[in-house]
Amino acid sequence: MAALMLLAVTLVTMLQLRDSAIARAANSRSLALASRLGARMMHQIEAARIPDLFDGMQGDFSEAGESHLLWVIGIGDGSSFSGNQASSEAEDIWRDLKEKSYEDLDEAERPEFTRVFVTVSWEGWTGDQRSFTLENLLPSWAVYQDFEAWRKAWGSTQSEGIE
Amino acid sequence: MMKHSQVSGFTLMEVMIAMAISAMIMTAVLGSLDYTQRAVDAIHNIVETENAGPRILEHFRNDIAAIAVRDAENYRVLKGVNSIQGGADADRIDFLARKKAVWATKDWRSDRFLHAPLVEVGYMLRPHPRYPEFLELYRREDFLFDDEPFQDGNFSLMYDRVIHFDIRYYEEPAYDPNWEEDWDSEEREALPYAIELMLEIEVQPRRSLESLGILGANRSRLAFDDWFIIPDATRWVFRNRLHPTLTGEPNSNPESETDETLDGDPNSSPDVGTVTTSGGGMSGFGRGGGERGSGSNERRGAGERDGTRSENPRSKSGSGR
Repeated sequence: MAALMLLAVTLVTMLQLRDSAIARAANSRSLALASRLGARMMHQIEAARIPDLFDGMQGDFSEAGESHLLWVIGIGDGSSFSGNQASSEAEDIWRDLKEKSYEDLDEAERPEFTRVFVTVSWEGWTGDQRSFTLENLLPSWAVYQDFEAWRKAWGSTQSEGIE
Repeated sequence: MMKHSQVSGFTLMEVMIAMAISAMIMTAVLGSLDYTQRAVDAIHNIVETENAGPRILEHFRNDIAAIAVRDAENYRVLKGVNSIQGGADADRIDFLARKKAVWATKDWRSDRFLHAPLVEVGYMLRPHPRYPEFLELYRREDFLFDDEPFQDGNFSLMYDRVIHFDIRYYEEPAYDPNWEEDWDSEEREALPYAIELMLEIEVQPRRSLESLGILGANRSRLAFDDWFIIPDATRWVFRNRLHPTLTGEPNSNPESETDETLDGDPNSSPDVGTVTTSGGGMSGFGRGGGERGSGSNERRGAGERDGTRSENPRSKSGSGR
């Protein structure tokens, strides 16, 4: 009887370990996909390729063959769709870095930036809800597709004669 | 009187029960091992194949983000050429990048291997030597830059089962932007505001049948696309020709003084790609004789030699998707 008990416990433990390993692998894959597709969406926003963007805009990645991954876009510091990143201190660092990249310009010519969040969520192997949030500071003209502002600032392809 | 001996042992029933328990344990252990092996294969397939595309895109992103606009003495910074090979898009792009070179070059004065801080970078394809339905994607890198910034250098094989590699260049943002299939920064005196790269690759699952039901790793062809922004500030600096710091004269390239191969240096291997090659073995990309940094003016451009630069039957530009 003791041997049978030991055997039963061993088998149950092995099955639990196996399920746990599969769940971790599946979550790992979902996390990698969420990261890649979320970053791709952020690049699309940066390229001003997503029209009529608004805070709370949502959808899924069925176009990329991953319909189980859902996305929500958050815009602005006070967005309620910012995942767990609302209190992030990275923003100041990023703003400094962004502003440094425009240090050749006069202050008046420097572009404005908007904080953008892309939160990707999916259902885990065990039915629990998981999510992943990307955060970036993007030029406001790209977020709101203000092409006129872009043309005023950057549109001319002619040299301004600076040597 | 003879004493009856007491022989200890197992009854048939005990042996049968023990064998049954042993069989159950062995079955469970083997089944678990087999399932573990399937999971390992599935993870291998995902990591080694499904992530191959994103790795290529990420490498391209790192390169194009470092595009060097301050160091060129003219507008020869970026050149994209539309190309079709075997009916598939096989575009080529070359540019200067201010980043640490992947390949090391030996400095004979200090007897050390150096990584250049500024390199010529290119991405190009050629037909797979064994499988005509596939293309091989190579990354080109050359020490600093010379009078032919879009030719020569070391070639690293990044992936050998590419189905198509299409690059589009966008001059300015719009709701429905036009794209260009070719881009020459010298002709246009401008850089595109964005580049779109579309890539389709074939993956080779390790145990495809066993992987069918696990984690969705059963796809054999994967398509990727992504956007690469050239920052407005970079375009502004390029447009206004600020701070030219290097002359780009051929003699300023230390490589022109030596024809030494770098294969012996362990640090000279690229950090990506499965196979690397250097020197004149790249018949598809117009490298003649394996020499670098000398006589480059006499060489023709990549693809012109082997006819890989064919005309694209499609229009050279189109409208946004």
